Amino acid sequence: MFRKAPHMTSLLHKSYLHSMRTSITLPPEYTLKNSITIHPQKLSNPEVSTLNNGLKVVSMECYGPISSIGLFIKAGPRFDVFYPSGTSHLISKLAFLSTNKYESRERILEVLEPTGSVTDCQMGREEMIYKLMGYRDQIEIMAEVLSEVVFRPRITLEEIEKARNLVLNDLKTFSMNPDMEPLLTDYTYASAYSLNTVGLPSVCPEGGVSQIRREHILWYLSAHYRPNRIVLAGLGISHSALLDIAGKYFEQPEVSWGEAKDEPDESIAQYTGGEIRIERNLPPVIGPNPLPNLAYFTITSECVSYEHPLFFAYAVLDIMMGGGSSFSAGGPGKGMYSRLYANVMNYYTFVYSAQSMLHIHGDTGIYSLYGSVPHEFSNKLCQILIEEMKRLSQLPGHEELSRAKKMLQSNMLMNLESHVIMFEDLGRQILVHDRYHNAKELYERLENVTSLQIVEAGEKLLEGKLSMVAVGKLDLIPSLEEVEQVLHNSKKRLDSSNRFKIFS
Amino acid sequence: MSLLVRSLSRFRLLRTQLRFNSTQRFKQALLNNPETQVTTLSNGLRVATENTGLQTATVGLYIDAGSRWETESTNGTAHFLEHMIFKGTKNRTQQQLELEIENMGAHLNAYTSREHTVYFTKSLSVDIPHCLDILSDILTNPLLPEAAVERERDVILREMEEVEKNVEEVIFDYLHQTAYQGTPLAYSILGPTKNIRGITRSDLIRYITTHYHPARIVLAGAGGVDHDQLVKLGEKHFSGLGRTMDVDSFPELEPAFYVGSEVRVRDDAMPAAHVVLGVEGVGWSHPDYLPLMIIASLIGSWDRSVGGGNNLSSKLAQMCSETDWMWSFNTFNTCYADTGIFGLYFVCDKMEIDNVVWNIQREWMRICTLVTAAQVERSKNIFKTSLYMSLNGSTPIFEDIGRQLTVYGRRVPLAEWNHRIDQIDEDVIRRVATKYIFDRCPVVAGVGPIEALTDYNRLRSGMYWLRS
Repeated sequence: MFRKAPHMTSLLHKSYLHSMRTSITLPPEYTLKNSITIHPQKLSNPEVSTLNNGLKVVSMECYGPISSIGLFIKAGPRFDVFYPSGTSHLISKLAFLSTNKYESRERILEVLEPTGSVTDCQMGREEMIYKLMGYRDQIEIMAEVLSEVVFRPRITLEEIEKARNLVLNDLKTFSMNPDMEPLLTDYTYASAYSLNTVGLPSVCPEGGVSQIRREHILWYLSAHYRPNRIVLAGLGISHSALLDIAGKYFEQPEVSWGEAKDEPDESIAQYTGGEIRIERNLPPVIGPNPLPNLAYFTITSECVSYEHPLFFAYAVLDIMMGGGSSFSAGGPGKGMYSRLYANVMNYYTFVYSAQSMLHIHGDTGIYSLYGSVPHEFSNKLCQILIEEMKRLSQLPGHEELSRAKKMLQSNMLMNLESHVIMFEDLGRQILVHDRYHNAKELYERLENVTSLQIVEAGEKLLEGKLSMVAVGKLDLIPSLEEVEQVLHNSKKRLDSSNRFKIFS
Repeated sequence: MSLLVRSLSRFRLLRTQLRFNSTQRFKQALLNNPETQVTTLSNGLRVATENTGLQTATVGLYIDAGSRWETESTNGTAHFLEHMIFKGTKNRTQQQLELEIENMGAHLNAYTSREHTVYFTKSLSVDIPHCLDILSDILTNPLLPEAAVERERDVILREMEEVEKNVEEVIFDYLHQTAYQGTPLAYSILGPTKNIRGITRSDLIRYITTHYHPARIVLAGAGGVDHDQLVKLGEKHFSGLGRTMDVDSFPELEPAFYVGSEVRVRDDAMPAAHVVLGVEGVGWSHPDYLPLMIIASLIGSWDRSVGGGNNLSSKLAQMCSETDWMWSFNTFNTCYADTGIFGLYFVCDKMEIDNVVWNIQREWMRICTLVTAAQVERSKNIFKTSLYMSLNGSTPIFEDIGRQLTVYGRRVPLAEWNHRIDQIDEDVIRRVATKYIFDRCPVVAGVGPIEALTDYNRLRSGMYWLRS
């Protein structure tokens, strides 16, 4: 069998044969007829509507050929309380699989093919996000698929089995991560809230995944995936177009789970304080050079919710403390002069990481200091971080305060460059606050943070009950009680020799 | 009955019409992107910007120089210089420099690759003049104090330790070492320990005076950046650059030669086998660059913690989800000025390497011979989306402008990308895949428990199919 070679001249007019260095003439459909100009007002202020069934619709315009559409749902591990632990984690692995209309994931991808879209499901502590990002003119196909996968999934036993394996893989990956994220965040929440609301684990506990049955998943979905708990968000689409789409696919969505049996848990988060200690020798990181045997810990105190007037002070305080890990990349601008860098990381070379962490929700919030260090130095680092915490009740310097404010302001504006972040911010804000605070408003509120507010915020942290997590080799890590004593008594220090009294 | 048929056909007509209109609209949206403006200053420095009118911006210098211009004894200088350049200038101490940046809420960063060096700041748009003042100061007046050079050796050696913890980086260094053996592309970016200990202040200064010629530099800006303002600032700060340099003494780029070969670094203590299989690809501006990128998105990638890949056409991803052999795999098409490597990096169970390799090669052969129009169409869409989505924010756009000006001499408009991709069909894909993969000598790098990694001769014989 011979195939005729294509004739060279017939190929030469094809543009892919030209070097990328030479520009090619484009066909006439590429001449710009009338440019799509968008009023600047529409680029920073979204429009919000509520459908009759309670579903909120929010949209904003943007430039470029890509649009995003997604559903933000009040669900997630916070609401796992009446279900086996890890139900949300498993559900997040069941996204974009077979539905009543589309018999397989392959079929869905086939339908989405002309839209060039990327699908994604993300789980937060109190929200689930299902989103699609694709060509601007194909958004209706994306919306139809979105409505199918969220409201009418089949959730077959085979799919559940596969999702269980994905969860188990996650657990393996998390335990090998040198930062201990996100397990450590989970433990931090658990220590601060015992097992209520946000304190529930987001990572499925070891051995727990086999406890979750299909009925649990369906009950969960029927209780939480209701229109009044959902925000439909679109970026790169006009509000009227999104409302049309919402009316077609989200106004009265048929669901595949029948009547709701349960009501969602609406309890308010209760900060309890507490201590979690998990002794273990950490597995070596994959690679030729394993890490030394580290001890990880967090010291946490309650702060405020989003709505509290001190929220902005905490956000600034978090940047002012800053910090990071010793092997993080980045040059000036990453917070080199934040307190945890300048006073801890640069000063004590044994520290692996020292970092400030702020977790805020609609009804509560926590502030933590996180440290990881070779275990023989762990009580030293505890002492150092407690000293840093004590300093929070002192007046901050003018320069460090204005630097922290400026860094936060510019980071916020830089984040808005990104289509992905912009979109998530849009949906989340409507879900949590019911309204959108635009960059200008946040910028000004940050500008108004005073040094007295920082002191007030710091004092509140010191007065409250502490929580503590310690993971790894724990021989030298003090107990929560000792940490509290040192924090409240200026003379007391953590002394390594104390710990060995038992032998003397 | 006939009524039904007619209405069906009418419906179809309507749909195609709608489709046509919407592709038209899509092409219009591609054109509705701000244009890239380019101005060449009298000393040869090019200023290129894309103004998206944001309140923040990334500006910086994209320099056509990297570890590839080094020699065996100077390998590591480009990277060493990148470290030293933040250590203070004739006008600013290191601390002043860092504080100026942090107090503005800006970021200053740099990186070195085999062919390029990049210095940039990301800041509020109003601070662009201040940022450019700092950038020009560190590039034209670096102090490079001897004592700091000495101190920095240990920092770089520590960084080297960190890099060596990352198996992916290690394995790609091995890959270059063997694929381009005997040419400067084989060098690692950090350089050997011996050089890191030996590089002196005068080596660094010589590197600047040889390579940082304005004709090899692009001053690029993206985000909220005004072209005329940047041109003026470029003239103000960089017009003195390169006055003492001789254009005729431009160092020549040594050609790179690809050699099909292998390197195996066995370590049975590691939990999984890491392997790269590759063939010689093409340079940035070669016409076959785009077809190879589409083949790469056709083969796709997979990670066991994420599950099903996004590309249906990827038989390899399908294999991964049906077996538990693979931990992850990634297709890559790395390009340089005149050459490139196309291949696949995978992490798998040590007992299944042979199965995995066999399936990869079967997939490659399938693309050379049997790939279908639908699969190519799907992969083109995936590639287009990833292309448009990668331009997400001012820093990626800045990098794109700098890189394209350096490797293509111009910024290729989105509409042109779109049109070029549209021209590629399954015939092109088969032709290009056959040209670069079929019966070619592969390059292989393996790290970890790789006793069972297929012998080179068997691997080589898997690069063709015997057919009538």
